[in-house]
Amino acid sequence: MFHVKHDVVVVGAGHAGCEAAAAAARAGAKTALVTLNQDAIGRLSCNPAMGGIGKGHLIREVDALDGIIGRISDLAGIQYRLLNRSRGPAVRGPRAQIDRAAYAAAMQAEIAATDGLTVVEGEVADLTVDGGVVTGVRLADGRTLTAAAVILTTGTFLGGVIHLGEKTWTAGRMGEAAATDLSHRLRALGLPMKRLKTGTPPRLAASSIDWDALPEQPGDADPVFLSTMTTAPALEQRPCHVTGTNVETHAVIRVNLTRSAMYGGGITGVGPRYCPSIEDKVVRFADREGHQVFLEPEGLTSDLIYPNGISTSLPEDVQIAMVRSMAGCGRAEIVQPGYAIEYDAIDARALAPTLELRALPGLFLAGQINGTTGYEEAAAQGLLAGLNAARLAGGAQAVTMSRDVSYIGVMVDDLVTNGADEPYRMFTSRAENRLSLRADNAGERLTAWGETHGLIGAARKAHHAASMAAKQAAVERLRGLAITPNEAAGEGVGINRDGRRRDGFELLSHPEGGWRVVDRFCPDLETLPREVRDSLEADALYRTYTDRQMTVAAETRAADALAIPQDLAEQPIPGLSNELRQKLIARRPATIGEARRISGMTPAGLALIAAHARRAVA
Amino acid sequence: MQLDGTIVALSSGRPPSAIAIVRVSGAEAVALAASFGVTGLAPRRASLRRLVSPLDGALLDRAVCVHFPGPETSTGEDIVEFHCHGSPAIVERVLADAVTLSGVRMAEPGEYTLRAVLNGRMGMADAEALADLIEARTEGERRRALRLSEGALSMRVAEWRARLIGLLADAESRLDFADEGDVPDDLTDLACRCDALAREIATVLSDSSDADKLTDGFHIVLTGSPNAGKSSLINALTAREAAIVTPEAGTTRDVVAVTIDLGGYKVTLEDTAGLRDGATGVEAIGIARTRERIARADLVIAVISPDTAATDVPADLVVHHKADLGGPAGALATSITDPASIDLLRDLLRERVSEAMRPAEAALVTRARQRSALGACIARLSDAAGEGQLELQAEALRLACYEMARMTGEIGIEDVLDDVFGRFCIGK
Ligand SMILES: Nc1nc2c(ncn2[C@@H]2O[C@H](COP(=O)(O)OP(=O)(O)OP(=O)(O)O)[C@@H](O)[C@H]2O)c(=O)[nH]1
Ligand SMILES: [Mg+2]
Repeated sequence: MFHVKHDVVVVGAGHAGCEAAAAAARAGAKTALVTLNQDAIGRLSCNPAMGGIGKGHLIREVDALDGIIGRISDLAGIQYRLLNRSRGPAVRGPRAQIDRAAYAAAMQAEIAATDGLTVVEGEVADLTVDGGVVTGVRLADGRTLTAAAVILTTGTFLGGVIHLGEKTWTAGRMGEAAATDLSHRLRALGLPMKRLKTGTPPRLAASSIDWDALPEQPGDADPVFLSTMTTAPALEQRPCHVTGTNVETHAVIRVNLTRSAMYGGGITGVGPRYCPSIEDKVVRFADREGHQVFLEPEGLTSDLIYPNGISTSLPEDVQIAMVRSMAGCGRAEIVQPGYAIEYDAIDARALAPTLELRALPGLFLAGQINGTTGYEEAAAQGLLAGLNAARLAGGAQAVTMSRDVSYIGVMVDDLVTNGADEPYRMFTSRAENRLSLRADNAGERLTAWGETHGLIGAARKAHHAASMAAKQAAVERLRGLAITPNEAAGEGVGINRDGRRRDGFELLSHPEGGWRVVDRFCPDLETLPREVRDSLEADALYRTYTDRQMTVAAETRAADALAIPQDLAEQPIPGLSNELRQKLIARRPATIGEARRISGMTPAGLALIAAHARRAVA
Repeated sequence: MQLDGTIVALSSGRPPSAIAIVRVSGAEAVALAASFGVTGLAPRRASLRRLVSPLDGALLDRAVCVHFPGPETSTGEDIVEFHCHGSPAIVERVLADAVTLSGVRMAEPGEYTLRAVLNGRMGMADAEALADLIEARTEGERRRALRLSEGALSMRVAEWRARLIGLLADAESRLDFADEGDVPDDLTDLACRCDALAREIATVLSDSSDADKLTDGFHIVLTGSPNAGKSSLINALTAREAAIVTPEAGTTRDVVAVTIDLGGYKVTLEDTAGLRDGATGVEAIGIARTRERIARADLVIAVISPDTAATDVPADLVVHHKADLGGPAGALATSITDPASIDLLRDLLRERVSEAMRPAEAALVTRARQRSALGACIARLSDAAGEGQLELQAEALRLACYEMARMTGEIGIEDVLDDVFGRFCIGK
């Protein structure tokens, strides 16, 4: 039969798959991207938007490692909004409405133009395994692809089942076949699997909506892009509109709850608490009289509208009644009904922090298969899996990312330590070092690291070097400033007249200070790129806290560094509860820090493990 | 501290006593009982059994035996108790035979409580309170420790912790869900709530500032002219011959301290060198020490007698001693010839002491470790109240949570363990 040899095979061409394939290729691996249908590459299954709070941070990190999701998004962005603009820079997240067709086209062009990356159309039916190591994949048509590493990014396709009211059928997305054989194969391998679910709202015909009745939500006047390489919007900009559910909508939903796939008991999978269906919202927030719904354009040339906030698995007739009860939607037409989809995910605790399955070397997983939700979470995992797959193929040591340095590290650490009991979404509150892990300094945190691992292309390298040099020069300039309280007062900045001179950072972070004042003293800094100025301002604003955070982190790190001997789980630890003991055996934490993060770990249990570990070391 | 194996120790008072309880805790507890010929114990039922030596089969004692199956026990492990006759010989033999069994050893000080904490049967603050309870030397200390061991502090801490987490959750949800329109954006009361919590913790902390007083005790200094009868009065009050009494002026040279239990509190009475001008040598040194003690005393009593010159040391209480020799009518008067007058003075002192010690007894925060963690928590809460940016308020609240976690032992538990368990006696 027909054989093709690759270094890395990526299964699935969604956000995780595309990012994984691109990263593997950038890292020098001969890579194949296997997808059922070429045209489906880069398809956005759910909302036509990228980024947001936490998610925008992830995109910027992938972008800093010269990943593609940020750049491609900017080629398709039709509205930009920086979320949390009224808050500080650490929690601001760039977000963009995306033109679906433009995104898929740009992604397909990007993949086609990537050196060392080929697209293979076909259904992966099986993994080939030799001596406990994955050696490639077998396609449904009999072809086999051999590779040193395989990355599964199956999204909702693995064992996918759609629920729409009382109807149920197997599918990976509306109108696309599920990957059923592969699901059986993974179960046969004895991997710890579970069922998760997610949902999507109905799509409306734009021409059927009474736009004049609805308030407009325009984009930002000075857009903040998803990629730091972008300087201007690529497409014409469009507003969103705001409508909402009301008492009538909620009554319609309540009366029909038993007909919802979710509430009728048809779905066993666990759904995301943070992206609930409208049924969920109506039940859980029974006292609310309405929920906001954003009407988002699906593209410049598309007649579809995505009503963000009413994902549902109610039957179609109820969906129509529900939609038409909302302002401006009295004559709205549903082009494609909303639905819920259940799919297979693997308990991510089976993964190493490299995203390789511990029990099956050579097999990497990224995206929804690991229990996450969201394009951005998927892409971020794809990048790390792609890099490590390429390194495995090239005989290099796998790499991991620390949670102190990146949201990617936070996410992977959370996943492999605790798994995901519900679909995992990124939040800024998940990051202990939130004030340091910002969208504005992703390059500073990660690009040099990416360079040492061969991920960074020439254009990015030059851009990064220039902005780092500019920032470094500015830092020295700011440190060198020595402003007297009198001089500061002259600019309207009230500081204690203690005779101590203030440097530029102190002026930047002062409530009455900021760039306005610093520019008076250093007019040359006025011409710095905005991203550099923003980043300096954020550094200044957070300095006291980031210093303190460093102390706390050092204390925690010291305590967490205590090594746990490999065989400790087997030794009798009198008094350790059976539950914690099982967790210890399953997780085999290498350090007290890892043990601390096991969910359900009690302070007492931890102290007991620490005591035993210390004794074993002594 | 070693933490494995089955431990055994005498867990009641030192024999000879009415009964002596030998307590065994650990996986081998039931096997140990069997080795002593005690089998088939019904859970949590007292049964009278013969204890025979596992070494030579000799009858050691007839003891009431109880089996408490883990994990619903004080240590979280299997426990067996032998309530033996309280003879030193019996207890020594039972313990000596027990530790010959494999996997069984003598318990280290505090190890039962340590196991209870480590097995999640007891919280840190409660264990600290238990340590205090065991160490309590006076009724006042015991009352306070008992209240604390019943959760007086740990319940407050649990409540504070829950509120702190609530504050943080409110801040975090505003930060992470700003775009979703489902979380109300206003959080105007966050600063007020942070302040209120900080003030509440601070009140408990300042009410506890005298906590050590209970252990230090109440200090009473008796002062007066040479030969006024200070030493005689102390001896009478304490019913001890602690201080030397002679008709010679200037008998007491150094400070003589006598500690007694008065109304459940530790009270130290200090006899001092009589004050007079022109003293030299040893007597002058003694007088200097007297003045030093007066400065640090909780209560100064001036002792005056009709046959000695009056002194003008400022005092809290003036006692007209040697009342049998005369003195002003209606004054607080004592005489060693009149026991009732001594009892009256003692009653008066008891009242003064318990009034002064009450806040210390009510203190919830009794340890430097707790004080520093709560103090830091207050500081971070005040930061949170003062910050203008929500993410900085959240950051300060995160740090406050970190300090609260140190208070509860969730973080840095290892540091706490030695402090707490180093002070236990064996068998607890
Ligand atoms: N009559 C009478 N004599 C007393 C009484 N109390 C003490 N004395 C006598 O007074 C003399 C001095 O008594 P101390 O107790 O030694 O007096 P002090 O104040 O300690 O004297 P210094 O230590 O020398 O300063 C002794 O001879 C006692 O017996 C009392 O209540 N009545
Ligand atoms: Mg004397």
